[in-house]
Amino acid sequence: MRFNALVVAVSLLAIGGLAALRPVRESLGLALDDSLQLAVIHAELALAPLLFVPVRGARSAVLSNLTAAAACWAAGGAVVLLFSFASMGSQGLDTRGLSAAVWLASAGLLSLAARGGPQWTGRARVALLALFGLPPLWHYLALEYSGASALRLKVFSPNWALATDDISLWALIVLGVVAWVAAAAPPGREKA
Amino acid sequence: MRLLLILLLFAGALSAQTIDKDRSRFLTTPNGRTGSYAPYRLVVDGLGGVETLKVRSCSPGVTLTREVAVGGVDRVDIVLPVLVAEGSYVVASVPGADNEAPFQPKLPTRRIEPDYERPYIAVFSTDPLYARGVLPSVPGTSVCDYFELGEFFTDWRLLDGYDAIVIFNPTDVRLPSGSQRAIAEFCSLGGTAVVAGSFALGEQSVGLPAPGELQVKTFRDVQARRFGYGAGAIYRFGADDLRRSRSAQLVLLDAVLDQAWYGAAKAPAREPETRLAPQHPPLAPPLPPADATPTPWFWAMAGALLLVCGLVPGVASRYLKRTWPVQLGLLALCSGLGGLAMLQARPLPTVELCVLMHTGEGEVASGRVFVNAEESWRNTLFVNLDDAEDRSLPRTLPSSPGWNSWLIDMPLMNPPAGRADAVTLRYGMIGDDSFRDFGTKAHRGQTKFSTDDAFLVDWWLETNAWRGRSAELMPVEWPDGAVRFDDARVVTRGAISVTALREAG
Repeated sequence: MRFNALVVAVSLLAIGGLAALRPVRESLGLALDDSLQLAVIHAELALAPLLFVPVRGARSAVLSNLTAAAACWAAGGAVVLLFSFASMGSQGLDTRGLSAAVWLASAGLLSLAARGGPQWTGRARVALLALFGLPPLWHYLALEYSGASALRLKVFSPNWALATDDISLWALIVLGVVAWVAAAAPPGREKA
Repeated sequence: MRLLLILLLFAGALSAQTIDKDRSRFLTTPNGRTGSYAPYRLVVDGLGGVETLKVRSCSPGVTLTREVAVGGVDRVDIVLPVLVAEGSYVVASVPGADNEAPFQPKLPTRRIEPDYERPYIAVFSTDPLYARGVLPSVPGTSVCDYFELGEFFTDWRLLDGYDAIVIFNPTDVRLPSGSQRAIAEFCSLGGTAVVAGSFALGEQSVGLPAPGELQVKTFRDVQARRFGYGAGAIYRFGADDLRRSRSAQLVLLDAVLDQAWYGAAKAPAREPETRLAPQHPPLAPPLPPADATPTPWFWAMAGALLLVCGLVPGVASRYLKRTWPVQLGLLALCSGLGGLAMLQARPLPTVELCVLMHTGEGEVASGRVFVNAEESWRNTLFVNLDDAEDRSLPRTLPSSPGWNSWLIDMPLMNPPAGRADAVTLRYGMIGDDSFRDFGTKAHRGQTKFSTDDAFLVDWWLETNAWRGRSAELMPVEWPDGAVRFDDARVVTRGAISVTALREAG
């Protein structure tokens, strides 16, 4: 989509502005400090599977989708860095790698799905949300019911990775690269 | 040629300065008070051709630095304060070179705990053997370390671990320059100085505040002149009077204990107040962060971002058939805007300060500043030991997550102005209230102390009222000359003063 970066920028600015409003801020337990920027980063990571709209087409669309995803990532990053006015730390810059990996994986999977039609794009979105959301939930519940310490939580989703010092990106990068390679593969290759 | 270069490099490495690990040691060995700074003799070899040597005394959260001119010598002895604690280390380096190796000193084996009955004393004398005979280090009565008078410490931070210093100077030997100031600073922080022989304090030429009024006291038939100096005091005996006494040791100890026991005949209960960092510091819960406000730069950048993301694809699609060059341009422009967004003014980290002033006799006071700083500010406080204006000494305090805390001792400060009348603690009571009820009332804002002062008041009462001592507590204005930090948003919170009241005058 031509204006995908604009959609990302407007969405994140709106979310940042909304979170900065006093009633919303107080109900979310945020302040006009590092926590506001962290909220915008969480929104950026969570919305990546939803906001990216891939161009439907054959192999030729892959390059457009890849550059569009990069532009979306840069637009989201610019919004996150804009909210540095409230932040003393460097979390905005520190999380750019994680954000790039999330966009790589999300946009790659959606581009691959786009080759199958809009129905598959929708399914891919649901799959991405489940992939990012469900394992941490199950993991948390498993720990909760087994009575184990929450310190044993593993980094299972990008948003959870924010809460740890040890951000591991390789799983997202592998997923993204495989998805992009598959999206760029010649049609009917599997038949051959 | 290459071999020659390698040999030259090796030769350079061999001639680099090295710490003599056998000769370097704590001067107080085997004694040492854990958690306080003690004088450490650092011996550095292999200084040929080096003009300046930089030494650092490091402990978790605090680094003391000193530069020493060593032009023309191959070996140098430096005495600097080192924290007696696990994790302390010293580093000697040549400015500009990167061949520094931290050296962890061997800690003293005999741990000297604060004890009202057994003061820890530094004894300076022209003849340390004579001093050892007059004032022996006896377990159960006093623990002493002996030094030459000529090597008297000119920095109070080397005396940090001691409760008292005793100076034998019967022959009117001149002390090194700066000694008077060090003694004055030590006493202002609550230390006791006992001088046997000749010494004059409060000379106008060194610009020190004058001590309190002269008191004549008699210890075991030996007359002493006592000058209160802030929270501490100076006792002066005639050398001949002391020599004629039946036990100079008991006379000197009586003088030391007279100050430590606030003039009472019986030791107060529990442990004495020391400069060691408390395990439960009186830090008030941090205030909520100040709200940051978006600058015009924020609005300008946000507008530019929306314009770029909206206009560039729209306009470019008229001229370009392919999408990807437009998206690449967008990537570059958005990245540029992100970079510009980083130039916005950021909020400064918050540093919250509260101060407990120790006042006493004379126009002298000292301060203990409790610093609670956001973690993003810094992890280590640096103190330049060569700076004659800054004689502070920081120590790390236990802190809450996300914050770093220090306690900074500051000697020789002006007595602060009061914000309200003082209250008096006697027999664990303040007026009609027990000290705990008073602390609770202070937290509720029902006293003349502010609710920020209440944390200091409550903490001080809890740690001191049990001792059965008397004291005056007063809310005070933030003192002049207390620590300043320009790279942080400094919030001054509680400020109180404590004046110990002596028994029987």
